[in-house]
Amino acid sequence: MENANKKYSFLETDEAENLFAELDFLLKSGQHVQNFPHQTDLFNFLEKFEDELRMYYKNLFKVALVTKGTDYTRYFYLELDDESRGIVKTRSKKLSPEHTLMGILLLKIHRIDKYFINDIYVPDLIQLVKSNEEYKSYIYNLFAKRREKEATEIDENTIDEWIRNSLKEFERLGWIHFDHRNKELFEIMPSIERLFTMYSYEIHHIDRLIDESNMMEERTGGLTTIEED
Amino acid sequence: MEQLSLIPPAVRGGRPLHFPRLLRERYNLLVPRQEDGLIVLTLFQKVRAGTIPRAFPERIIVETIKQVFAELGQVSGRGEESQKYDETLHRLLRHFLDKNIEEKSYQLSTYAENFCDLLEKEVHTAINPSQIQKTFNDLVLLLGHKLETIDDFRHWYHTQFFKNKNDISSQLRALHSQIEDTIEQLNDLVKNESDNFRELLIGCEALLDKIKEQADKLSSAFSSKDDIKQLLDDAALTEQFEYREMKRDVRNFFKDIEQRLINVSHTIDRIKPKINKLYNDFEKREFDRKIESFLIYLLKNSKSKFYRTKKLKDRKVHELDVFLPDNITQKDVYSDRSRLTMVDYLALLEPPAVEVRDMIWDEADLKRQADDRRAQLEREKRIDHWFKVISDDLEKKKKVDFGSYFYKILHKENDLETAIKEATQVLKEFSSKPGFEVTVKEEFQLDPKQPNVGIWKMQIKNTAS
Repeated sequence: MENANKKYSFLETDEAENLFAELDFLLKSGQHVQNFPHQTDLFNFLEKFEDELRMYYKNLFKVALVTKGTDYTRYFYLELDDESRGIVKTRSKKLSPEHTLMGILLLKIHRIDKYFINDIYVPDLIQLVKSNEEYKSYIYNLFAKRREKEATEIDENTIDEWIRNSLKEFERLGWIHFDHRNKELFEIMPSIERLFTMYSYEIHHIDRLIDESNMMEERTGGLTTIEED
Repeated sequence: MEQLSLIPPAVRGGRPLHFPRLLRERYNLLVPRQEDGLIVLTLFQKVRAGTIPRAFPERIIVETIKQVFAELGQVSGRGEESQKYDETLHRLLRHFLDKNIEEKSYQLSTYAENFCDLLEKEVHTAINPSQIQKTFNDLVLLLGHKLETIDDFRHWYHTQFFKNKNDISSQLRALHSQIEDTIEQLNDLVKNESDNFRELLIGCEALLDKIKEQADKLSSAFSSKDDIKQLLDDAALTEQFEYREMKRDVRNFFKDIEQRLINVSHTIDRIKPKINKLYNDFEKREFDRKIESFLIYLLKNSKSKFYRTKKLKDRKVHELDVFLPDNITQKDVYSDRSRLTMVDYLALLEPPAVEVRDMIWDEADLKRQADDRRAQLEREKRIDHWFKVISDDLEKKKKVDFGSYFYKILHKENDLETAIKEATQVLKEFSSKPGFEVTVKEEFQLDPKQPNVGIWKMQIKNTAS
């Protein structure tokens, strides 16, 4: 092999000249890259130089280039592993509670209820979230402190805003992709599975968590530490 | 499939059938109708369980008849029952019940016991590979001694082979019916959403494993069939047609058994992936259920704290913080902030509305502001002028009383502010300037021309020279 003794020979390729800056920027900003039309070039580049890129990020940035899924659902992202977490603390951010809630909700709608097969129209999603008997009362309570029937325009706007902001964050992470011709239309990417892997322990042990929290509620009489206005 | 036959193979095939007359006439009595068969079977099981004695009174038969009729849903009209019970009892007395006239009791005939035994064997044969192994060994052992003459072999064929052939076949049928039962259970499982789906599925899988294990054991028990084949091939009787016919019969039987065992394995191999799929479906369903529970748990137990209302471009929203339940931690996503400027893109996308102001102003006020500013600039000039006068004076006199300058400025400029600012500047400049000293006495220096104004006595000394 021509560059057998070079660790990062990918840097000297023509492809790198065209793609690496963008790829590096996206990965470092937390984006997940997968084999979808808008990312095909980046994905192919990642697959082609996977080992070298993994070494590159590991050696020079102390961060793991992780891949999950198979074939069509394969995706790449950067992640601080246990070793690097202590060294480069500042290079991560928490997924906010608002985004976490929306992420799990979106996945449940998409994966389990299967309301939307491919493209999701944002107003439809908002409508669905606000009208679902199963959870709408919790959502109005959380974002409006009111029941749905009593909700004001500001309350409705707040819920819309929560959904839209979350979707924008998911787009930044590469978990969904907005149609460039219609910014109200998006598609869920395979990498949204990452949210599941993040919470897989909690999901698998949800029955126990519920039991524990019921027990806690009995003990404290339902008092919580967060003050509510 | 090979059928049990009372007629030797040599006389079988294409010729008119001759059943004994007696068999034809009594067939319906020898082979009981459903209710009769079940009555006999129930009596047989009761005797075996010890709930009734071997010799039982007529009352028990009548009770059993009633019981079976009720179970089969056969209800007779009033007055018809006794007649029906009598008829049934008489039918059964022909072959299935023996009556002891002296003791006025009844007991099951040997034929009835054999009949029940056969029924049970057909339905619930306990699979017993080690028994089969022994049966085979006996078959092989006896065959070894029965190949000298065709009579010996015929005897082996009609006694040993036929007797055991039935046992062997029933083992296979038992295996097959176990598989069918398991498939039926699986079908029920798929059709009816059961609460303990997973447990039942595990039960079915264990059952199939057991069947497969038994089939394997039976296969190895049947290994002596090769010895039988070998013995038959090596025999000196092959010249005889009858021998060849019987030999073919024996070989076909073993071939059939072998094929059926292979079928059992194949059937299990075909069901296994379906069970795995059921497992996967179940796991997926279970995982989906957990995701739903997790979502509801999050939504129900998260808290929010409200602040004031926030104004966006064309609408207002609540400004609020959401908190996940205490036992759910927020997760990290990679974000290299050391290289990227993290702009709050939300604010960027939704900038607060720019307030458009009316461009109307007060001309007179503008003039007043301009005049004020001019007066201020003029005052600053005058302060600088007087500061220079005082500084020059200090160079000459080495000592200056600021008080007299203060009243002089007040008189000349006719502006109290200029005088006060001058005092501040002088105090500030000379108290920190090397070579100068400022002393202030808490005594008023007054001026009769300015009766409303007073100033502490302040002296500046030039100590440098």
